[in-house]
Amino acid sequence: MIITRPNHDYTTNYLFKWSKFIIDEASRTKTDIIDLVGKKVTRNNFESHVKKIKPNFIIINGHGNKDFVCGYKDEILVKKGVNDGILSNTVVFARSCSSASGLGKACIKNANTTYIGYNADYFFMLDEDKLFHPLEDNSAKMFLEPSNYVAISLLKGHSAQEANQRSKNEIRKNILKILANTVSGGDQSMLPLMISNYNHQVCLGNGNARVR
Amino acid sequence: MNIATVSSKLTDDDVKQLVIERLRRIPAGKKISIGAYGDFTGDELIKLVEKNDRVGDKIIEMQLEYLRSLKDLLNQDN
Repeated sequence: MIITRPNHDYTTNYLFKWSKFIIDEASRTKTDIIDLVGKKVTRNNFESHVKKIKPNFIIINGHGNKDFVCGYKDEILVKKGVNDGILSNTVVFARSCSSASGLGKACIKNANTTYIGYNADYFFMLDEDKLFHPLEDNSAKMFLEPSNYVAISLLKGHSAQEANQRSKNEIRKNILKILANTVSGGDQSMLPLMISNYNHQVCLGNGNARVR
Repeated sequence: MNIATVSSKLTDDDVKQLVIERLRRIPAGKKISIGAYGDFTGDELIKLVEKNDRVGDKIIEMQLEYLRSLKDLLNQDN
């Protein structure tokens, strides 16, 4: 698998750090990993690795919009109608805003492609005093742990559709914990963000695809 | 009367005020990450809502979606 982890601002640095748990699971399941981090997340580098190793699973962390996903310093990595073919015949998990609504739809014109991502903005809450220690941030944990679960479930052998649903179930569990006041680090102001993520996290294309 | 009906009878200013009141509940020391737009405190978001900024519009949309969706989500089976 290939995972991209740019880290040029607080948001991407949080995704960078929290992806550790995905990488741990990949190691545990003896999955070969190309981990593109920081400045290495360029379009050229990404394309050359994909062409060389032909991965069946690609995880993209970074900013985006409906038509593209980005790498380091927001360089466009994959854009609809430009180089979206690079994602053909893979399972993609794009943790970036809105890309499922345009890029994702374009990718799944290839019947063997699966695109799990968000068709609206991806939100999370963070603690200002944990900005330099993202893994200690219990607010961000409420959001990033469930989204990690997409990739972790795929690595455990679940289908793409199952992985997406299992991740959404984790979001729902956190929503219910907050409503019941049974979780530390949770507060009611998180709920609109969580529900937006829940409603807009989608699995497009071949939902039966597996990466193992 | 359901939320959709109530919200359809609110003016834009009513909705904006409702959202601002909800944003006041964001605890001090917390920020909201909105992708490439950056991360914002509750007070910063209130200013953006008041200015009809693009991020402010996104926040209004998100808060209204929350009010509409919560009941459906709670009624789902596991």
